[in-house]
Amino acid sequence: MFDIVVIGERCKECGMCINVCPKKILERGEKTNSRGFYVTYSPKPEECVGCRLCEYVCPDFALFIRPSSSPTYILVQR
Amino acid sequence: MVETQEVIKYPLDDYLRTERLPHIWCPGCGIGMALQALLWSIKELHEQGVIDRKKVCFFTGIGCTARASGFVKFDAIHALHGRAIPVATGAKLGNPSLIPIVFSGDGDIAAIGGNHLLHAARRNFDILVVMINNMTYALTGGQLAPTTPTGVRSTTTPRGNPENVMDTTKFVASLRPNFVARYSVTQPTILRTVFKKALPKRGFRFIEVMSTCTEIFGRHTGFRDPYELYSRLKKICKIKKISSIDEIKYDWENEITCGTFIDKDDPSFLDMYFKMYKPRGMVYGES
Amino acid sequence: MRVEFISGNEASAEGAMTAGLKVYVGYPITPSSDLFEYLSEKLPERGGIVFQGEDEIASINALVGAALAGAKAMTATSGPGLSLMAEGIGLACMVEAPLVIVDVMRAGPSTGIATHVGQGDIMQSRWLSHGPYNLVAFAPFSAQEAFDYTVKAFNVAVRLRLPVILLSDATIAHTRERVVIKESGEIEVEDFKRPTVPPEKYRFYDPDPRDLVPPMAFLGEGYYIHAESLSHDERGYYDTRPSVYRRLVERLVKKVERNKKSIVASKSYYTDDAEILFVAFGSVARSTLALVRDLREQGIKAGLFRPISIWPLDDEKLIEASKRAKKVVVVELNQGQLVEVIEDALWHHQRYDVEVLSLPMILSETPSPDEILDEINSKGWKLW
Repeated sequence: MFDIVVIGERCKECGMCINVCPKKILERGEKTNSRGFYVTYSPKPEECVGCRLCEYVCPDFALFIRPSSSPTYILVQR
Repeated sequence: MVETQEVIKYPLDDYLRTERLPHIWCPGCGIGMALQALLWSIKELHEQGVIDRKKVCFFTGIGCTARASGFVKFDAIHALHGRAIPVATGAKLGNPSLIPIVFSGDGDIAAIGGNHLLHAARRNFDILVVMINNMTYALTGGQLAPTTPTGVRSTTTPRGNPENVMDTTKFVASLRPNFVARYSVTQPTILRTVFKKALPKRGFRFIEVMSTCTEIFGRHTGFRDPYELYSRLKKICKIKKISSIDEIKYDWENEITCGTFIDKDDPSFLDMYFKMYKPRGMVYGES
Repeated sequence: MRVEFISGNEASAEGAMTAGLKVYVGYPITPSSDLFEYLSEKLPERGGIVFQGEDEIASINALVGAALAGAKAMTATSGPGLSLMAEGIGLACMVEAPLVIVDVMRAGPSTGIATHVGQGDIMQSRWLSHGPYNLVAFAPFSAQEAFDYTVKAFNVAVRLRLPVILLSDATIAHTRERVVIKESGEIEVEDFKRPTVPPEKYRFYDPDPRDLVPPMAFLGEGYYIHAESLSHDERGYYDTRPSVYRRLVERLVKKVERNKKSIVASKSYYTDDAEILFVAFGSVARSTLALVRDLREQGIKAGLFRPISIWPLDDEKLIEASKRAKKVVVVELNQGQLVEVIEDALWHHQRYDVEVLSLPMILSETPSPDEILDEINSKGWKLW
């Protein structure tokens, strides 16, 4: 099981992570960061299989996957 | 969902000048993907004790890719357009224990810096060159690059590119340096492995990374979404084993041949220089 | 200390080795190639590396890399090669890389006459790169000075973190003379100005307020330096704000002015009572000095001011040398470049009373004293 961690301020809403996810568990969020980008969101992190494709294609060092006992979508606000 | 003010570090944050993020690259740009793979390879090699990250130096020219030097937490020189290779060469001569990485674009390395590329490869000079190929001059707004596929429009070839295209990997392979490979940002784990392989080696190492420039190259070729361009690249970047460099193809319509085309351990320039000239009081690695 | 009978080029090479040269990168060009060949033979045994670049652009850029890696670095070239180095010299100024360029001047323009002498690179040496910047240039007039001022060029380069040009010429470069060669300890050799704070507090472009020069950490030491060719702040981070640009560029220009006293060099001959002051540098100064001595024998109150630092000019000594002069004659092997510098300095010091006469010699050889005299006579000036 995995946490999906997104560093909100780095996201540029390119949508690469959403498109490559084989489980289709990522989507465009409803919250914008200070630059006006809708930050990637996951409504069902418990379905993440940890393939990390989203992490590899994120050009902005904004999203990563980490092992977790209680799978959570974490939005880092800083 | 958890929203947190807590500082959760991105795994590569120790290798990034995080205060400068977000970087300048457009949404969906492949350069960030390639840089991520490279930083992972350095991190892993450093943590395994194979290399010392303090010795890793980035040398970049001018262009979108070249801006990478300002985002990585390594010693870095953001130099002139086309001149990253000679600056890296000089640094390696000045301190042979450095691990120079030239990280720059196709316009910088293959066009204006073509002569330096040629001779560094011919000499088998001890640097790693990572050329990010987005097939256009992106920072200046989409002019023709030697790597722009024939027929494709650019702002300086508005009716299509009339020129023959430059297959930089094939060209460098003809000079027989120690390592030549081409992969794509669509092959991220392989890319990481290849960087890891090439980084500790001696001699000249060249890795071309096919990349996506949606904002400019995509606009000129009709791919308006980063994922569409990424998927197109994924389709044509075919990993192959070859028996002759003549089999390497650079064809935007059908196949851009990827793979590790040369991997050998011939004596490098510095191996040869130290053997023949024995500069007093200086050593080069274990040899 | 030892005495050798060597050429100006060889003396420069010896000076560089005394100064602690570690990396020489060159590209063959007449009349500088024999300096390159001499070092190819000698430098490895003195603990340095000699490398032949694919062109002069590679040479100058490699020097920037070598310098920032902590090596004392040098190249030698001539006019056409210096032209190719234009952008790289700007880079060296911008990233503040200390290095030395020996420019053995030959007859121009363009390829000109490769084997003949010229003095046409005065303005080029100062202004060849675009944008505002500053650098230092010394012009030796003997093999001994080629040695001494190559050492000084390195000292100034590392003290101020900038490129220094040694404006030699084909005649100086290839004339064999007695040269006293000193080793470090027998002559002052300066080392790089090094950081005094730990890496986490260090900034690559944080100047010492006294001399405006930032201490220099090297590549590979864990300071994570960022050398930036774009306009940058003290950390080396690209910044487009006009205030940051101004702070940077003003410092780059002013650091030469601020440290001028320790840079400038010149020599004055028979100037105490000189009514006609000749000004000449490099090989032409040798003939001009002979002419001045001939004129003195005829009772004419002639003197010579010989600038050694061309950029910046030793203007205080020029003013002193010209205190009784009514006429200043600037002799040079070009169409009149040094004269602009001299006139500028005299006017700057309100010496409007002095008539400045330009004597450009469009020759591809060092003129003899008689040839200079003939040229003066052909002008119809009533100098004496």
